[in-house]
Amino acid sequence: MKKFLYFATGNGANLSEEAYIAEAESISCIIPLNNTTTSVYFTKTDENKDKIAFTHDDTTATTGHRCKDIAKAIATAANSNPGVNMVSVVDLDNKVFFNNLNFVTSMDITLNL
Amino acid sequence: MKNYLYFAEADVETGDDRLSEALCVPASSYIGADPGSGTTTLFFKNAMGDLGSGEHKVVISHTADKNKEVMDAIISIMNNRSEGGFVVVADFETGTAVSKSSVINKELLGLGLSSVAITETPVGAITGRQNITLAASHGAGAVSTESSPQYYKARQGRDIITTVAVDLTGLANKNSVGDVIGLAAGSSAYIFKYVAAETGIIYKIEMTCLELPTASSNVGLDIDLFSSSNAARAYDYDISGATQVIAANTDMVLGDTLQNLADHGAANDYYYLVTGNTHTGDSTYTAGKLMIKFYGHPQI
Repeated sequence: MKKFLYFATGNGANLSEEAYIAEAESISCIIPLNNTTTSVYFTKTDENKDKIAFTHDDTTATTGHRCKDIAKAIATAANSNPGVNMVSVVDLDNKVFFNNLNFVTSMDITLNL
Repeated sequence: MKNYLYFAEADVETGDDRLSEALCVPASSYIGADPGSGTTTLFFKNAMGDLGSGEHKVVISHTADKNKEVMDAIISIMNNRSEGGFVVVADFETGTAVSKSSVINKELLGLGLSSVAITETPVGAITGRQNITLAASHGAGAVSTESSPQYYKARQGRDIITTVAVDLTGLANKNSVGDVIGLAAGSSAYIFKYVAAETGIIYKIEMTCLELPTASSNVGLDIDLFSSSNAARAYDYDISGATQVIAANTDMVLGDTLQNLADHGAANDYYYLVTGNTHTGDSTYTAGKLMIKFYGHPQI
């Protein structure tokens, strides 16, 4: 059974790039962008990727960059209960956060990089 | 269970600039590893961010001659069952994070891991070498203080396009028409070799200014491209008797491209940047980037 991950920016999820769903298998990498932003990339085709950039608090001077927490949560979501087809990772419309991701304050979705 | 591997450098603050300071990738994207002296480089496919397609490289520093053990441990880490699928391979983020300790996967303990360095390589990138047999090669005198020449190869239909990106910073420019540009300390300063088996038959060459060259004074902006059968030409050598491949005839302008559709040099020639016009006095570049494209077609 394929596992899908769901993300929503909190803007209603009724316009392009306000929400995103992707097969967990398509995750290509998770990297920090700066102290308060972490991006997740999904492979769409050989040439195209989609990107979700999470904005979060700055913990670089204390417990380390949040990219580790985000990576751990997404890896766990990708491997979560096989009976669940779709996992809401961060849904800011409904204030649903997988595991401890409630430190995510906003996100930007960009298709076809 | 699908495992996701996590690596972090000492400071984790930036990324997606070809130097991401942390990286999480699916274990399934692992391509393989390359041993070095006290290092092992891991390659992960299709892990690029905004920079298009390519690969991530993670260089793990460890006790010398432990390469095989590191490679074996990485495979074990990838194949081990994990809790939730998130696997820390090596997390050295303790530079600014004062409330955190480094974490090294137990499979790697005893191998003297000391750091990781993460880089991204775009698709088509070729490692340039100081090796006179390869197209993607250069002399030691062409290595700027910023970077050595960078090489990329792409196919467009049957055409082969080899791109050479040259950073001029630290290279010196004589105030003498026809003199080779390179490190003032000397050594061969060629930036590319015409190897028909790799490049195809070259039928067009373009040179583009991506960053306008600067110098503290007397900046040389009129830069030509010459080819020569001799690989040993160095800074200050008068190469004007060789083949002029691109004649600028004017100062460079940012973003402008010079093109040559004839007289591309001969197979096995070496290519040099050359002073195209006098410029008051000798100078050393403090900035400047050129992109040179060699268009080739395989022998029909």
